[in-house]
Amino acid sequence: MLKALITTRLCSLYNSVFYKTPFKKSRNIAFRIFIGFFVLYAAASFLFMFGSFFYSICKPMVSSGFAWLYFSIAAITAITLCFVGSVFLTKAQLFDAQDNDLLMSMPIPPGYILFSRILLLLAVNYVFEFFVLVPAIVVYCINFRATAGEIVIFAAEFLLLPLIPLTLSCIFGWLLAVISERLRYKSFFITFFSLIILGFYFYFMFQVNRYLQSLIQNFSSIGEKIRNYVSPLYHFGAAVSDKNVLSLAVLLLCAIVPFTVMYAALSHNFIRIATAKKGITRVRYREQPMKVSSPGAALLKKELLRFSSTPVYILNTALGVAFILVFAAALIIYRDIPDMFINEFPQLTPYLYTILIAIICFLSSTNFISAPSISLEGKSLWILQSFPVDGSDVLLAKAKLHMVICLPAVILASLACIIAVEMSLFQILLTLLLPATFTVFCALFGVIINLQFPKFDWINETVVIKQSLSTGIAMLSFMAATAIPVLVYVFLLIKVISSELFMLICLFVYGILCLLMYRYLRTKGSAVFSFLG
Amino acid sequence: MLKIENLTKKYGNKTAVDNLSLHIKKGMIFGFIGHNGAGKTTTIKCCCGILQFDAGEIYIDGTSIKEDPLGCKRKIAYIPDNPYLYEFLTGIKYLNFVADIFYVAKSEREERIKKYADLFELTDDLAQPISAYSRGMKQKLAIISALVHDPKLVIMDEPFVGLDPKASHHLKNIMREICNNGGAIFFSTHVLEVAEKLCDEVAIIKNGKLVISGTMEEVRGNDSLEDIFLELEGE
Repeated sequence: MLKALITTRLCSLYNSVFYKTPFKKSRNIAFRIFIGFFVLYAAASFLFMFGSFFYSICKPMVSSGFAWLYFSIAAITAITLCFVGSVFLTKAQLFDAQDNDLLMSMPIPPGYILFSRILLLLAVNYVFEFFVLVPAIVVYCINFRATAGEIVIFAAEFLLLPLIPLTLSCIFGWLLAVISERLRYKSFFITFFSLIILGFYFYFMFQVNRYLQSLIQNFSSIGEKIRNYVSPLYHFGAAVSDKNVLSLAVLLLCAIVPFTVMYAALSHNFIRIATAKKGITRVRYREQPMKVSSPGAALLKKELLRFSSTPVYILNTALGVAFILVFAAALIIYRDIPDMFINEFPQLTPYLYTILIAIICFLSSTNFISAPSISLEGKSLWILQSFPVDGSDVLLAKAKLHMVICLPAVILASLACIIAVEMSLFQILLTLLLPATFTVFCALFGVIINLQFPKFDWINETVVIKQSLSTGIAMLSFMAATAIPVLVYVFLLIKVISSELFMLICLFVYGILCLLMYRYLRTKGSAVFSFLG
Repeated sequence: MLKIENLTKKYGNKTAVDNLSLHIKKGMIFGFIGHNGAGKTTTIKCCCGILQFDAGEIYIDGTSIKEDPLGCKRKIAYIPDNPYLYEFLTGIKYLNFVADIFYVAKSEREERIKKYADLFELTDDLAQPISAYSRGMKQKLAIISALVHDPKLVIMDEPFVGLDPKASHHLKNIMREICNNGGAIFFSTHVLEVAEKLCDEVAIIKNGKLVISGTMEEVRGNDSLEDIFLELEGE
């Protein structure tokens, strides 16, 4: 029984990526290959990133007798990554699971249901831990000869450590579930909370070199603080570096005792948690005068409401808008950024505005709001198909959503560039028009790609937003659409034509492509839409 | 009001609807009966312009759905078997959205929404997100949204599933009211007692082909509709 439950959990995880699609077999294979490459790329990036980090701190720390601190830092990095990576999954698996009613109607002990879910979460934590601890030990082995005892203790710690972040994420997942269920504006809360976490993450990433320097210069005082205040981390390091079995025992206690308490508490309350009525505050309707809109405006309004009510949609497809705004604000607040750049690279002075345009286009290319928008109709597709509206109006409403969200930020960033850098009238026009046209191109292209690769049989919105073929193709295409012109100019045309002329050609090309795509959506796209589903 | 002529719809090699012809006149409640997978939902979706068909013609009030799909869709309302609605909208926002799409004037939409929401006892819940609705509440909302533009023809797929007895009763009255005002109803059902009491005409479909159609008296004679259905199904 338990085996069947665990198999079901693993199948659900697999299906969230490879859920059967209406594509031909060859297309499914291509999709799997694409996902495979993407996973490999992500894994290699993580291993390289953490490998570089540990390489920079390993020698100075271990040589100075602070080998334990090196392993402690590896442990805290792993705990943080496991926690951040799994807290929302923990919430979804333990507190928002859709199949609790079905499972509890079967003769399955509730403890088994909980155990199968916890086991899945533990497996996910091991994956995250792998990306940190494996580079850490490999770097250590390359620089210093690790003994068999050290390796064995490290392996034991590898097995124990994820219990700590799992306990933390269960507690935070529960807190998140309790808080978000009691809030009226749940999606706003989740988006806001996630943006704060991402803000901290990016701030940390920008400062990482400074922190690294500080860590290398002050590791003795930092080590002292860890030893005094975060004893489990100290014991994690000491167990490996000193081959200290007592430290391993302390770590064992620190990992197992809180986890057991948390598991017992969850197990005791599982039926209550699983059957709890979601605490949505009931709002009684009060009659109000209704606002009348045209069908086109109503379709756009509907798209905006879907977008604003789905945090996963906002956070995954429109994060670039935040980056564009930060870029614009930075240009306005720190007015000397362009001068600093010119001082650093004086040979690039004539191309400064070109570089700024390329940056805005690149940031805009990270938004792909329209790419999953057709798939998101899911089983509600019948509504739009039964309405007396042309399919092209539906499709263009989805492109307009992308434009409405992205264009104001793009124009703002263009204006910031115009204020920050001295430009000719022609350059000002290009700075305003090219990023805006590129954004329109992305909006229309996203809809067309989704029209070709729709996925309506999803069981969770996240599947189409994060893992569908249309979003994958859109992301890569947008990046290529930014990179190719830059590479063509830098390597082929820089000595042939001026940057102004090249930008004008780009504007012309993107403009023509926009017109062609608009025409496609108005004609053939509408027909394709009527055959969907 | 609705004329289906030699309708054929295939899914790959499988013929879901095979040369089906039906005529639903104004003022008529027309029941569409058949076993699971007989082709009822496919026929209904073709009539609503949701599915494209391979052969035949469908006329809504004399207009071909192939030639003027938008014109036809303006005259009809569709209630599906599973009311998958926009869960992110509140009930009232969904109704207002539908009214916008059908160009329903402000006063008319307010009046109709109030009338039907009160009738189906959904008024208090209109500010709730649809995701918080029960299956029955979603079905009621789908019915209200179908009625908000005062359609001439209402096409329904298993409309009574999920409705409580009171709401079912109100729906039956509304169906009769639409027909009395010159409209028509075309609906599928598995509840043969409902079809027997409510319908002016019925059609029975088996494996995509029309088996029998006509007035209730013509179809059942002296037997019950259930006996006829089981006999035709070969039980």
